[in-house]
Amino acid sequence: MRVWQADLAFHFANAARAVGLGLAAVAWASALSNEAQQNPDIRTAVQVAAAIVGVAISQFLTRLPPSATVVDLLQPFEKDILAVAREYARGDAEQMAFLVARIAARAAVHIRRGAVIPARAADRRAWLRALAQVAAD
Amino acid sequence: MRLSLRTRPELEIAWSPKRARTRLSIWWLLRHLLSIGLMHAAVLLTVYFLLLLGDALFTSYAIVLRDAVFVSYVAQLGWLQRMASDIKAAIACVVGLSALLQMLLFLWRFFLD
Repeated sequence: MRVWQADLAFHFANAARAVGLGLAAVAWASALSNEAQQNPDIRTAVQVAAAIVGVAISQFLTRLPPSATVVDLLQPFEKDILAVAREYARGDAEQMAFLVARIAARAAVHIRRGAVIPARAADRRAWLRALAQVAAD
Repeated sequence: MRLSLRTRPELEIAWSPKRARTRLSIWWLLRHLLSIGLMHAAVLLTVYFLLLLGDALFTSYAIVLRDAVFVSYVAQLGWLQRMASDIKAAIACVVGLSALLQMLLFLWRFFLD
């Protein structure tokens, strides 16, 4: 997945979640005010307030998109990065820490420059091994 | 090859969101504002499509059971037609509100984080 695709997926997920929550809040407020036999003005005001509160809560719980920091894209592969670094470090803890940092930094640079993160685990490991090889040299 | 401890802080560069922030330009900002607008338009179209699908399913159900006493489909369809514009306007308002809030919060985080 490329960074711009991850950004679009992030924005779509946020939009769908906020709209879903907002509509559910409006439906709930509508049903409650209907049961309470309120007049139309109060019902409208309650529905608008419910929409604002529902959407605001949902939007407030979001963060910046993945391209702001590529951490969100790399962290799911932390295990792969650690495994490749362990493989190249051959038991040296300091070398492993160094390699983890180098691999992650190089991967971040590659992703920012438009590289595609391989979807298959085997391809991802091969990609990380190539980065580790450069880092270890 | 033995490394000194000074190399370890590089890990922070990799995982710390604040230190890993890429260069964020005006173009990046505008691209995301446009993306938020486009994604909300996509969500709005999806919701309208689901409404249409629900209406079509209900109409099919009413047509199939037209002889059943308990299905007064003419009244139900009339109700749907009366309510459709109100419901669609309310959905559009919620989507617009969501887009506005998402853009504002995005700008707020962009300038404050």
